[in-house]
Amino acid sequence: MDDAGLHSTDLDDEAILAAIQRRDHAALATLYDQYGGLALGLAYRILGERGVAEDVVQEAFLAVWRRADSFRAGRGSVRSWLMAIVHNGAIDRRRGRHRRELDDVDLDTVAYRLQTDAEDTFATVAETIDAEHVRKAIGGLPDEQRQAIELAYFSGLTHQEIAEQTGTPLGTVKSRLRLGLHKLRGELVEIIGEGGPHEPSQSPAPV
Amino acid sequence: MTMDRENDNRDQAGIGPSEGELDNQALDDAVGAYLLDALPEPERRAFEERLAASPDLRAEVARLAPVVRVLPLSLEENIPDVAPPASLRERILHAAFAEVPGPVPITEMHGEERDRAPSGTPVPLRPPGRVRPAGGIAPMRRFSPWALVAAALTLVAVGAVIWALSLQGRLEEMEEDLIAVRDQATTAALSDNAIAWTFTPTEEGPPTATGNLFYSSREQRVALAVEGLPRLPENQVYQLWYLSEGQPPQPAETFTVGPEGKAALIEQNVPPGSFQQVAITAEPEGGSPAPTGDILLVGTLSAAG
Repeated sequence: MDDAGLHSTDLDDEAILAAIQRRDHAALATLYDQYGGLALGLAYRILGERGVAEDVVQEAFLAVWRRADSFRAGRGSVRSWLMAIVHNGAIDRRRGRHRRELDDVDLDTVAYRLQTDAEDTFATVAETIDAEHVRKAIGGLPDEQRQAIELAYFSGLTHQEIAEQTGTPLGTVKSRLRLGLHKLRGELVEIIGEGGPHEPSQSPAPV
Repeated sequence: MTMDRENDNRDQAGIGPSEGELDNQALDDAVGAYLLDALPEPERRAFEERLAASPDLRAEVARLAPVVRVLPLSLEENIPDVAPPASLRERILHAAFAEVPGPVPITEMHGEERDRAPSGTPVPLRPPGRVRPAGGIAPMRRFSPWALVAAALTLVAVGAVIWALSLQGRLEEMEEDLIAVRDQATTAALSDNAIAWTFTPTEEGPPTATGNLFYSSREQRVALAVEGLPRLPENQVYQLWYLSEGQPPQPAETFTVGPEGKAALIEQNVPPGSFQQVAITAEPEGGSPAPTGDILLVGTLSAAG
């Protein structure tokens, strides 16, 4: 992998994580300064309530603090980890299943989000892309796929709720979510283009 | 019972293999919903069982997970009036600090110290009497009083300290102090994510002495500013010490005070995690490798004003 393609914040994140692993509180402060806004934005978007959103964000940062030692490279960036925990916590609250104790918020809880194929260069490059790329890629989705993904991820609806809300059969909703993610990947690969070499030409999975 | 249920499942699957395939296909189709956390709990579990059995499905999850990971980025400039508040930052840091470092296990202390050790209840802030090292003098061969200080300070910190966070929200308040005491170099140390320790005199220390120590992890720099210290005899200097749980005090810079009892110093290249607490003693000129004098000032992570 050519390091020149990596955004510098990536290295900063690594340094921050290393410092957190050394129990450096200032590094935790830095992590908050870097991603507190993004984390709170996501929690707030899902929950629509400031106080609860803050609680979720606090839990997420503390989970990173507590579990920093268990984080290994190759499982996405610290940002990804943090945001996965925030998302998970916010969804839990939204669905009234906030039964996990703080200490249970660990890597395993969000491991599915951190899955990465070591040979998938896109996964590495994706950690370095910026907001504009993502917005553009989302904008490139067919409306019904974009809507389904947004209702699921940002509104925290289950596929059944999405089906009810959009008057769409459940199977169709599932397909839209799956196809939408494949399409989104394709859009991102197109946008970041050369940054992600050796992109397998394999077509989206059958539906 | 579990076995029976598994057998039942197998039996059911055996009745119509095509049905099982259909189920699997329906489960596979849920991969997007799974990654987006849109599956209700029972379905999520069913999907994960299927995932464990299907390499293809695992490959698809690994392929799509990075896509989900970047989704929150699209919010970045879209946050509805929820700038991350300094109060939340403070809460997080305070909670994190309350967890680490933990108190020194009582069993690691000697009997004499154990008797003097503070109880598990939080010690009130500003406890110079209690954090004072046992005995007047701390001879070189014994650093145990320092360990006790560290333990006591840890408890103080856990119980009562609130972070003086770097600068958002508190900058103005801190700067007022700074202007009064510090030179520009000290202020510079505050520029980014400094953590502050506040010095409190021990019973041996000059009661009027005050000061702060700041540590910036980005700059890897310590900045010290104190005032109200008496001038020492010609052959003595003040010395700063870094204290870490379970370790002897580490010598830091020495300094002298100006006519108004003020001093400021900067130490570069101090890696993060070098210390938890700080202390100041008077030492022979040139400083000591291990403390020989009384602890005059102890620094705890700063409490709220």
